[in-house]
Amino acid sequence: MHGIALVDYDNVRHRERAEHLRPGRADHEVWTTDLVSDVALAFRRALPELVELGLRLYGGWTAENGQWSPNAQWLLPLVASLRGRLHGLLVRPVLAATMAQFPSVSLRGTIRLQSRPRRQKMVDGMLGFDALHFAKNAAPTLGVLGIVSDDDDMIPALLTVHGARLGPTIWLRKRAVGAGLNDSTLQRHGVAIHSLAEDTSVK
Amino acid sequence: MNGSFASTSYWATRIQSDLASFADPGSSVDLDCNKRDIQAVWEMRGSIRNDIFRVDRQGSAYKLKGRTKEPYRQFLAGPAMADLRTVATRIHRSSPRELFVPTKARRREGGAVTDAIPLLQELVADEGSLDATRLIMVTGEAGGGKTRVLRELVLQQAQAYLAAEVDALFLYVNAQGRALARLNEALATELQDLRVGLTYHSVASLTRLGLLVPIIDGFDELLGVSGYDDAFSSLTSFLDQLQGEGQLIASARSVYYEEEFRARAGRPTAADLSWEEAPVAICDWTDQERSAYVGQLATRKGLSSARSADLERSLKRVFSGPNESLAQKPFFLARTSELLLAEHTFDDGDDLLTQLVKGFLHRERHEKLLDRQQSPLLGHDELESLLCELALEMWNQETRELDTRSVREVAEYVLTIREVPESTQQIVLEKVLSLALLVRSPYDRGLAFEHEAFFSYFLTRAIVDQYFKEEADLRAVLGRSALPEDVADRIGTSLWEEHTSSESLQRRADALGGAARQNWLRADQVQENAGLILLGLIRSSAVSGREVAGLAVRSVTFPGGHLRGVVCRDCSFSEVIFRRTDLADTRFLDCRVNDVLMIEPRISSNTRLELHGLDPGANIQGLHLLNGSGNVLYDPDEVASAVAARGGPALKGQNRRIPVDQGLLQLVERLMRAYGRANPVCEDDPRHKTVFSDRKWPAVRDLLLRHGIVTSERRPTKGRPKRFLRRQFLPAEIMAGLREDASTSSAIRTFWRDLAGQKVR
Repeated sequence: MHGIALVDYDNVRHRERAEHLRPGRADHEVWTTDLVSDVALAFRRALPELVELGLRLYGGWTAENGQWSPNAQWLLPLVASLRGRLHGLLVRPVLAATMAQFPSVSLRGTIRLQSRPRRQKMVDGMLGFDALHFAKNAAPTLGVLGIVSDDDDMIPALLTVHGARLGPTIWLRKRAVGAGLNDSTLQRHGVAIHSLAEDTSVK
Repeated sequence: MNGSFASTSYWATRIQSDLASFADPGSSVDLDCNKRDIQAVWEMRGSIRNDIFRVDRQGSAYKLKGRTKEPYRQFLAGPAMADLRTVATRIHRSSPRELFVPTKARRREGGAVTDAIPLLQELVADEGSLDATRLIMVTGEAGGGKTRVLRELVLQQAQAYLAAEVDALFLYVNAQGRALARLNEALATELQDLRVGLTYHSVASLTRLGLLVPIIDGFDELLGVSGYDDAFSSLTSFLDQLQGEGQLIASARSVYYEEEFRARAGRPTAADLSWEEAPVAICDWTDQERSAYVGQLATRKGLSSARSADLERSLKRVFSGPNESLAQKPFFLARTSELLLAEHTFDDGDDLLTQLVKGFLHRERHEKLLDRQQSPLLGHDELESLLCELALEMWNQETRELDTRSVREVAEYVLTIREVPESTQQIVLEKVLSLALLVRSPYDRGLAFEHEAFFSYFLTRAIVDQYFKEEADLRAVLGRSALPEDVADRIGTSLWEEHTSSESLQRRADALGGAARQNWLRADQVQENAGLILLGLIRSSAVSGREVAGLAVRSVTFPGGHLRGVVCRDCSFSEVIFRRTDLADTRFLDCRVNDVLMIEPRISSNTRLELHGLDPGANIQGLHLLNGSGNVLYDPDEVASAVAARGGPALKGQNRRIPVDQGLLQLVERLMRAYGRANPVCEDDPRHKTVFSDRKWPAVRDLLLRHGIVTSERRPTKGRPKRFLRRQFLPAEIMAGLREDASTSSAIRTFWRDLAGQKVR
């Protein structure tokens, strides 16, 4: 069985260590390495029959002028090196700089570097619509589709995605299971909720 | 608007984009232009910079430095910006120093043969007439020395740059050796490895200016992964950034990938790229290169003249009979020489690659993998199965190298399964990172096979043993990525040698078709890989002139590949796509087809196409005639006539061709040929004078534009802005619309109808 995890990078990455400083390349490299490992482990635990997991990392990868943001430039060689076996899974992380349905359409300004403070744009939208795209187009074969985000804005996408396919849908987030206002509703509709903190507490 | 102002505005746009690629993130580049001067205020590495550029009357830009002027290219390449001298130094230091024998190449089929490196250098230097980004496509078979030539080209250019003999650098980008599915990752990793401060975007700026020429080795890896459009998109997005300027060199294993690129880059969805292509084919080695290689090897190893002569004699012996053609491949010559110098004897009946593998593994077992009593720790089969598992793991991970942790995990798994004693396991695990046929990848990132041929060998063994013999689900292994043609070929040969009967051939064809028929995420990839293996199987079964009789082929795609010289009698092909498959001298005799599509198959005058049920108008999209002209026929009548001349059926139904004047039709055909190698096409390009100077051209142009078959654009180039025509459909689609019953866009059909109504003066 293989799966796809759509990861809202800035929403779920660790950020405690350098909150008071502007994070640098090393911070992002450590965070991303940990994040990929944590997500792989959580998916593996949730679905032991899973053998392969594609991770699409959504974030502020393109600046206003269409150029890769510094974070993206740091992470590009890193994600390539993170591809391989991890926790018994074949893991394939990529930076999702374009939408899955429109790989040749570059969307400018998913990070607004000239705003103070810097702001992300379109990232949640890209993730949600990509989830729907995968749900509709890979429905017969895709084992599991997961959204990794702590943001309740993802709930409508999760419900729609789950309704559009037969396989399991997972919401992986930082908060504990049961801590969300709509957790019981989602679970009643079949969406499995897992917590990164609980799933990765014992490694 | 006078000429000087146009140049200033062109340079202002360009300077803004070039400086932005070097500017600090989040900062802006503010320009202030007057008639000839452009003032840029911008931020780089935390410092505010205030640079003034001047555009002279000839349209060249300079950066003003006090009273002196620095040419713009020089400014951008200089230490304050890209610092290309440091880049050249790093390239020079990091390039491997290996034996290099000048290898021959030629521009196109039938072109003059000359040394590859000067040819590529001259081609890159000749950039004066470029109106679009030039993609120099270097093709050559696996083991033919492409990578060696390209690496040497990069090294020589860096040396020349440091000696101030040239002002452009080549940047080697390895797209095949790592888990790099995308060009942006490959480029970012290469820059990181070189430890230079350039970014992806500054590489694009430098490429546009001709200061850098990226060399993408393993371009076919980026094209071949059909399941991942974003891999191809990363390539097109880089080409898009070049905005029709600069040059790239790309290597691929066969012309098929060159044609695939043209087709995919020509789709309207592939961004508005501006490119033209220049093919270069690496030639096989001749006696001259082989002697030069042995001479260099003798010097390096300090061999006496007698020993050297002895080596030459031994090589001649090994490369005789069925191995003769392999002497043209540098890889085989080098590895065979290595074993001969180690006193290995080549005497069994296996093919040369198998003998080489056996030779190296024997040496490993008897010289390195020894216990305290100097006995081999592992048997041949155990060592071979370890290497097979490593190759299969690479294939599953879609990479050509494994990190050390994965290598150890795989080794432990194999040794445990094989019940190797734990004490032996420990010693082998310690030595596994220095096993024969494996090398540490550059920058010590992991472990890779020393050559693609060894990877192919072990992958073939693994796939045949674990998937075909065990009758496992083929989708798991065929859905990964594009199978290298030599692997598919070897799998086909192995399967045929195992059971040489037509029943066995049919059983294999059914298994491959069955896997390809199932609908799933990577079904297209499975269909292509199943097709490639089946081609190898058919070829193996047809050796020594034997006919393939009564075979039923279903639900596969033949992506390139060939059936050269194969005779198929009473065979059937159902739901099969032949995509640019080489059918030179192939003889389909009394065969049947159903739901078949042939996209630009390559046929010779000896090809027979007795394919009952074929409708040349509906089932063939372009026909590539291998008659030296390189022409592809698109006109349905011409296609039908070429098919009929080879024993094929006539067009179905009455003449349903739209009656277009012959002169107008020829004009459109000439334009389509121009589009075969470039898009858009410049109307001022002297190479296309026969199209754009024709007196009928204005009427054709008007109709092409009116129906949206092409769009017109005016782009700034180095000189004055020029007018270009960009096609919106593939040439084969446009020409197919000449048939009334073609299932094509209504825009194309109405274009042809209106063209038919044109009065020709």
